[in-house]
Amino acid sequence: MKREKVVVEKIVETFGLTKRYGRQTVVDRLDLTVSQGEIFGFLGPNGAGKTTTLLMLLGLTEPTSGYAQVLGLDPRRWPLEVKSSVGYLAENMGVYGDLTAYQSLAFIGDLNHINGLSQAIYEALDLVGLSEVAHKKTGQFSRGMRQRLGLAEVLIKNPKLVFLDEPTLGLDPDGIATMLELIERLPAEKGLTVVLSSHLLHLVSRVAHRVAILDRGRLMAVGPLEELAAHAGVSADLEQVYRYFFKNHSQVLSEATR
Amino acid sequence: MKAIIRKELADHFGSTRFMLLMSLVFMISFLGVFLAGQGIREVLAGGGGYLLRDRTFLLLFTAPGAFMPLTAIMALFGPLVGLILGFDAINRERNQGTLSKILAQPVYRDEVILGKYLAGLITIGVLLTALFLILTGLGMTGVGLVPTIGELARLAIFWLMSVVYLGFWLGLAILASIAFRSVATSALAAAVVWILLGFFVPVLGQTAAAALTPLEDPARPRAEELAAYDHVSRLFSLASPPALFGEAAVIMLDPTHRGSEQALRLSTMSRLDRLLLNRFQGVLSVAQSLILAIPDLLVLIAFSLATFLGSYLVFVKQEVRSA
Repeated sequence: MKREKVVVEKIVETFGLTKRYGRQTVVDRLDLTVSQGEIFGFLGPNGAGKTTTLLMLLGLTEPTSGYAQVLGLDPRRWPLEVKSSVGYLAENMGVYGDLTAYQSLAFIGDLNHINGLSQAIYEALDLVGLSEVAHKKTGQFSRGMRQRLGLAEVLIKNPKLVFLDEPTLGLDPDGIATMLELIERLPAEKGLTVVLSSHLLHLVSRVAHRVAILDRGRLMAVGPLEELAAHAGVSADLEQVYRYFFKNHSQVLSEATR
Repeated sequence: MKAIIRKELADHFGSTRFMLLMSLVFMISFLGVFLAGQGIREVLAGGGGYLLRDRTFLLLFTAPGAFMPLTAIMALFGPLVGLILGFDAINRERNQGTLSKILAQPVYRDEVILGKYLAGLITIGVLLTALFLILTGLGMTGVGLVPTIGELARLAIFWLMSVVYLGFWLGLAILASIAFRSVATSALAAAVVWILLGFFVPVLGQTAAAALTPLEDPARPRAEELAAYDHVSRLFSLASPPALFGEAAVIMLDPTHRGSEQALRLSTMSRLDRLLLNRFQGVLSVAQSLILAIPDLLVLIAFSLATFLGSYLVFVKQEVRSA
């Protein structure tokens, strides 16, 4: 019997991606691959370079050296094409408080030239559980509702890839659970690839298929949690894996983690 | 970009700030035109037969009355409209965390500033249209004057000039909102430039002219001395949009006005030259006035383009992150 070839489409690839601000290196020769349909946890403490990496992948900031391919495109040369297919929920994403949830989504939909906008808006609101407050001003929304609205704004453009930057930041336990549940459903229900950036390890470990650990712009480890744990000789607990790679800073990643 | 324009327009027209701004503009303009109208009415009642056709109605906008003429009000206080509409255009988005949301959509950065600029310009256009219609109506009913076609044409050009002029200040305010992350700082910076260009530069021009071209006998200045003084002073006014607008506005609204340079040239002419010129003098046509006003207008447009270019250059180099 002929063995079927498994094609893993690389949605994101970076090659020596580097960003420097003056003398400070924020992202240092980053080589990463994100495959289609996975939830990829992008971990690291504050200032590790996670957000800067995401901005480079979106074409919103220029790499100092190296390059990236997102959905097969160089974001520097094709920023609009990349941004058409990639959703981005920024850390501390704000809302237009004087607009309703529906109007906010209509604005994003207009910017993306979405056909059948009204239906798309209600579908997105339904997915994040905000249908009932569609016509309420977002200025009156709680933090959790704002984050869910942000996710709806990401999803309304029907992206192939989403970057979620600290999506659970500032949420209460209920809000975190709801957000994680939503994120977990995205690959199966919408066929999305998710890059989930966070410093909250225990949350990411609940939903991520693979994780990358960043520290001061350098990639410390990347792979499925179980593999990283095996390499580190610890239990498959992300906190322990994380601590191991930070302690063994000099060992920086190697063969076993690729 | 249409989406940005639409949203900005909705923001402007729905804001309390716009309503307050409109009230302020209407009050000051109403006062200026009302007092000018009162003066005209008194002249007309006293048998002011010398008032010229194609000019009388426009006096509502150029006669000082007991207050400033509307042209001066527009030149000095009109900038506040542009500044108020634009001083927080970008930094507000940045501070509330919505700038990254917009830029993560398939739009170029220049579309964002251009969208905001055009929306502001449309808002200014609507505001000025309403203002001019009300003032025209006030003139017709209050003073009993009916504008001629020529006067209406001049008013229409003055409207366009005002939009361009306030557009410059809008562009400047947007530039400040990009350059400064704090809304208060950008408002202050824009106000400083307004005071500098509107009040300080013209005074500086006169001071420099007095220093560089002193008059031998101030009581009886010679024509050449006056010409040199005017030349230096005018050079400075080229750097002052309010001065440029003020002159262009007076040229456009006063059919007998030929600009300060022409007036001065006339005063320094020989008797024969003046006699010859008088044959061709009189009330200027709309096209003739427009030709005289065009240099000032072109410099104003150049100023506006410079603010937009500055905004673009600063904006594309900035990082998107809000914190």
